[in-house]
Amino acid sequence: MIILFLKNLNKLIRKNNFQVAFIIIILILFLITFTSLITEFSPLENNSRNRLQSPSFTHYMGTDEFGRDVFARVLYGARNSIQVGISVVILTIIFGGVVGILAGYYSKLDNIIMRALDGIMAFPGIIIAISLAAIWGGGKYNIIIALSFSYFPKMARIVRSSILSIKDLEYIESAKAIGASNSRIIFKHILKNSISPIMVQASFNFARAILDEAALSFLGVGIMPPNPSLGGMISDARSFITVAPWIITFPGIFIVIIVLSFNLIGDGLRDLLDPHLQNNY
Amino acid sequence: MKKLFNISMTVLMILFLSIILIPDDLAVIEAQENQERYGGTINIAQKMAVAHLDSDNSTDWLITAMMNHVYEGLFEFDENLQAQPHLAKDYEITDDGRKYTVELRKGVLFHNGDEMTSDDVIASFNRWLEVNGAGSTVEPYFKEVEKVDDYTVNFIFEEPYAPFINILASPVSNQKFVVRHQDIIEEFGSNVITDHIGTGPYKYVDWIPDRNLRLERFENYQPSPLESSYYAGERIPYIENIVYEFITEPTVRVSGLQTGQFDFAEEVPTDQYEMFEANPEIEPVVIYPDQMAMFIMNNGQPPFDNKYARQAMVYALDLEELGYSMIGNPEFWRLEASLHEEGNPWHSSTAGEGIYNNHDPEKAKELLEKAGYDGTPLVILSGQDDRVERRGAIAIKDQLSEIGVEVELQLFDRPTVVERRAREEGWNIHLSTFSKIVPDPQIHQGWTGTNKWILNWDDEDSAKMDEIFARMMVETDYEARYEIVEEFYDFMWETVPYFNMLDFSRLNLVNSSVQNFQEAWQPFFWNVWFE
Amino acid sequence: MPGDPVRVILGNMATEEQVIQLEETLGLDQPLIHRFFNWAKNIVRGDLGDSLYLNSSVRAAIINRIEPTFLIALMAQLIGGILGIFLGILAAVNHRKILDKLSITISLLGISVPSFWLSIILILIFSVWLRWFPVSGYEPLAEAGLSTFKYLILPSIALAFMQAGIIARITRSSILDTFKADYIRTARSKGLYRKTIILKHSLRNAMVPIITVIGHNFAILLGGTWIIETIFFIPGTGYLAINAIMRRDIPVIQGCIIFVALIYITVNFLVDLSYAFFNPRIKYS
Repeated sequence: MIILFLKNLNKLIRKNNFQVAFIIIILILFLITFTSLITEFSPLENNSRNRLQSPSFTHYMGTDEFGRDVFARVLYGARNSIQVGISVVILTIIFGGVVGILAGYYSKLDNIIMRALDGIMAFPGIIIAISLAAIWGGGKYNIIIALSFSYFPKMARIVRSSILSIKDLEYIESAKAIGASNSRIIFKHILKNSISPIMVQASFNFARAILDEAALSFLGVGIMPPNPSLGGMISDARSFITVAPWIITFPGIFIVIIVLSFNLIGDGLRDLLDPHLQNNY
Repeated sequence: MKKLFNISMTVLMILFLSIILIPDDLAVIEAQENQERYGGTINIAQKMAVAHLDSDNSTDWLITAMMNHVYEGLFEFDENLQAQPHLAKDYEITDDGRKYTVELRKGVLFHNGDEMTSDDVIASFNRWLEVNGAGSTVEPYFKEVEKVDDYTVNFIFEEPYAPFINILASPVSNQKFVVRHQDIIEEFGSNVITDHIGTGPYKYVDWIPDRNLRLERFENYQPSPLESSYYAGERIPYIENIVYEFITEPTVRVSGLQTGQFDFAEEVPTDQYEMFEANPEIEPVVIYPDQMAMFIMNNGQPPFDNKYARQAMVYALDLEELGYSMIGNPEFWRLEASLHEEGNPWHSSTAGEGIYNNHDPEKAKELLEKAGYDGTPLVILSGQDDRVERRGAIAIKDQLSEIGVEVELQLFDRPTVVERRAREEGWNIHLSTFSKIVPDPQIHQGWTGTNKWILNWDDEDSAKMDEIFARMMVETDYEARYEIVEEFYDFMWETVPYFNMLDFSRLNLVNSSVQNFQEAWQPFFWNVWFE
Repeated sequence: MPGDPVRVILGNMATEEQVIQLEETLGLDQPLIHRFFNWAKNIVRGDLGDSLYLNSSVRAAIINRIEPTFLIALMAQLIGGILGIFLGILAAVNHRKILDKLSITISLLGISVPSFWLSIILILIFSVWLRWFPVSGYEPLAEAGLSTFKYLILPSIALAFMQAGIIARITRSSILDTFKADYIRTARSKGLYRKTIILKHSLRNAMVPIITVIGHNFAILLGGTWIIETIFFIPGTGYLAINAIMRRDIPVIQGCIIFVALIYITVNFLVDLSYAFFNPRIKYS
């Protein structure tokens, strides 16, 4: 299986779009991991006498209303967003996976679970996230849970349909006949079948999580000040948009770059692994 | 000879008659001009929505600012910060300051056509005593209110109560006593009033809580006979309709004003001041004195149950930096230790000496140690929606980290903040803004003393503070009272239950077509007209 | 729920008696189960209760605010749909050529740009600098007639951007799929002009997945209008909902949730109905 994956990866890397996206992501990961080496400024340290400075050689992206270095805040903000993204994706896979397996494998549970999932999926993810985040009082961990909650039904569905599609296949029957245990069947065959759509969905989920986290922080229920967040920076920058338009531009551009890259990766993975998958959201 | 005499008399008569007549003509012209002023709708962009419109049941001064058009007080402040009789005609203090006899103006009409009488005043006053924040500080000293006749009321105190008139008219927060129709008082009691019948130049039309408040001219408004001066005197409702819209985003208020959607924008960012000044279509309105940014502490919980920890906070802060963080443009803020501004009879130039604006991180650390601070992170509880409070919280967290104090920021929406700060624990620091226009130092008693407001202050120091206020209240001689007030200042800076960080002025914007707009501390829209 | 609506209404100086009294009046003192059953019972009767802040019933509050939300969603969907389908067709027809790549990039941008950020930039350019549109606010159709749309254009465009991206992508891929289908090859071999082939056959068949995606995404569109309404201060159901969430106006929050669910059910129903129109092979017995 690993060999298969690597062979596919090779094909993938040859595609242009994917290459670009991949490079950008590596670059971003580099930037956010080694922030302390790249910039000497802290994203939190105030220096209000130095406020609203336009971009210069000291402050590449200028300063905000507290005199904080915008470049540092953008990098640390991106780091926060990516942390949220990764956590959400992992949680979504775990919860979606478990629920999907339960639904797919045990048809008695299937009905109930599907009804419940449909119920959750009736609501726009952002609405669920805003409601939960506001009720719990915002903060990084709360929104990770809130977003995971709104994304996992889709993932559960994907896992479930993968399971359903092969549950009845002959080789499952024969494997059972040989005496292989249930869990072995699951982990070997079903996983192999569902890993492609899961990975595709995961990339798109990641992109969406970045956007949703930004929206939640923008509304004031996401990452709480003074911790930097790209959405929060956009919200704060609104008051100064005519005197300091750079504060609102840079975070937005960063969001677009990160999200675009992950969407490209999702596209690339999908085209490669399973071109028939269409639904991104 | 006789002919000459006749002619002279005729000429004299003509001259005499014309002298009588001409002023009338001028009056007619003036009336015509005035007539042209009438009409129009003014759109006001207000910075926050309010929870309701009942000034007795809240401390949100935005409510009073808007409802000033609908309700009036017995007394109102003029531009010299003197309380003038408004719905009252005259008053007399007898019995050594224990009895206030107030004579009401006759013929004042409510919006429903009824005439205002003592019954309305007494009903409104009893409610004010019971429900209003200022009223409830007066209540312990108050004996009873007596109806003499339909237009005369006696207010009787147990002890001489010097600041009574000033508190009745107080422009601070929601303290002012306003006269409501007695039927309304009967209908709502101490519950939130949702139907409004007042005597003001505008009547209540409609309120959609998160959108707008609409008022319209009261055609039968009976103005005060005194000369107009801020809230006192004659109020003429030239403008037909007043619409307050609740727009929480400052740039939207600004742009709305620039594009003509609004005629008045409240509290806009001060960074663009030069741009506004240069724009002929806009008039910047800078109110001075205006507000104070306050640092409030929970005196009931460690570490701030110890006065040395509280003092430490004053030494820990770089107030100038806070000015830049919270307000921005240095033209709009200043550092002032005294609770009353320069020029005010209660100002003190020695208040806070040695401690205020003395940024001394070492001393702060020393004091914290003396207080036995154990290093638990301090919780700053403040509002998200108010920009000044929010930026203050962020800036203070950063400054405190420099003396090694960790801070947990809890910024919430208004409802959550209001709920949480009412609790005895869970918060250490709260940021707020108080009005600087305080006509009488007694007013500070409303939130300074044992278990006043949210302070949870209850120890021998708070008891001593109560005692100072008790003396302040009965002292009628200005010199002697000033000394007590200075004692109050000194004790404030020694025990620091809370403190004022800096004074600031809001920048409001008004469209140039609005004439005669007054830069009063709570913007009002009577006596103004459109060009 | 943390956050006390009662204390907000009564303000700072509320005494404990006042708090308890208001709680009683509002029915907030009864046990949760009791309140839930009351609420459910009322829902069935169409009574959604009264707002804690708004001085009106929840139902009235929502109905009063449907118009702007509906108009924005409709406009955004239309603009996004038309633009998206156009881009998708363009891409599919010029598969693997520059126009295709360009179209893909634009659609990707569409789904990668945060709509709230785009709105603010649009406001800056078109409202503040150019003064073409008002910065905020709304006037109902009944009062302002066609000029109502000047308030709706920027919000709709901000939302349409993402819609266009989503729809362009699905259009492109489903048309490409239909190209591979047999009957297309048959039509081609008959020599029919390419454009006609697309417009007549492919699009019709491609519409099913396109409409499906539109239907599923309508929920996302609705979520987007919530945020957009707060940025433009448009008094729609989204503005109502977000304010209610921030203020803990529980009855309104519950009402809005039901509203959203109803919309979702309705839209999906319409989508299902439309299948019969686009693909005669799907029949409803």
